[in-house]
Amino acid sequence: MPIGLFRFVPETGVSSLLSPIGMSDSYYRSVARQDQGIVLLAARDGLWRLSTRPQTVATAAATPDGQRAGAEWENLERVAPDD
Amino acid sequence: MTLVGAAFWLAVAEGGPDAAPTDYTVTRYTAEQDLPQNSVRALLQTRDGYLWVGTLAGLARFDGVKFKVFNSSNTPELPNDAINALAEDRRDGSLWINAGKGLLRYHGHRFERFDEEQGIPQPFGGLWPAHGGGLWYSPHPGQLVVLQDKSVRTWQLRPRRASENGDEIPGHRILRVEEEEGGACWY
Repeated sequence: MPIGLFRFVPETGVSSLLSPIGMSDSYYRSVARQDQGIVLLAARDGLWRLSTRPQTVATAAATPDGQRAGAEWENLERVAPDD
Repeated sequence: MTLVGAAFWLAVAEGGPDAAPTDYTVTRYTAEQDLPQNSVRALLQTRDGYLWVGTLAGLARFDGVKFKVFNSSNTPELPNDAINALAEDRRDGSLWINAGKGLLRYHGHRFERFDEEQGIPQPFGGLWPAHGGGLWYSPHPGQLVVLQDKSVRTWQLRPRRASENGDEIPGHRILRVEEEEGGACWY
């Protein structure tokens, strides 16, 4: 499984971590990017939605290599650790 | 993802998009209807309308009535019969095929191999279309490749997170790549 959701810029070779800060475990199962720019992330602890517009994320993601980008996530559904 | 058999939504009887699921007709296709095998690993409809089904026993093209099967016995370009992933080229509608250690393209009714001897690393799992044509894929964990016009660019994505004892975690397996219009990728 991936260790997090990243945004990668080929020109610079820089990857920025986008996974939600509140996510208890950075591993995720699946990510879906819809036509309207909405990003849904299925993680071990529930379903997350990226609430920031993609353009904002693109700006926020232009951080030095390895730093967490400033994406804002909304936890739509939380799953108990023992569920 | 492995589906057992293939159930395609063929018709909406009545009621439009708000209709209850019971208004749909589901038809199940298996080896009895000439699907090469019931373990479906990849499913893709190309812009010409064909539905492509990748199985462990070959690639099938469905025209809405019957399947045409491509496998290593009738298609010498196929290195084996296990089809792992499919993608459609955004530029010319070619079909890209990951056939277990073999990358192929189907275009103009012919298959073309892209192999190691040509300096093209072979995909490990999924194939994802690049905006300008060609493909993104990962040959090894932590490695990302874009193939365009037989030219390859490879990135070794360095680990970004440390384990509890301070060691870096090795490159992780890439399950999916989404390219933005500006060229940046999500993985």
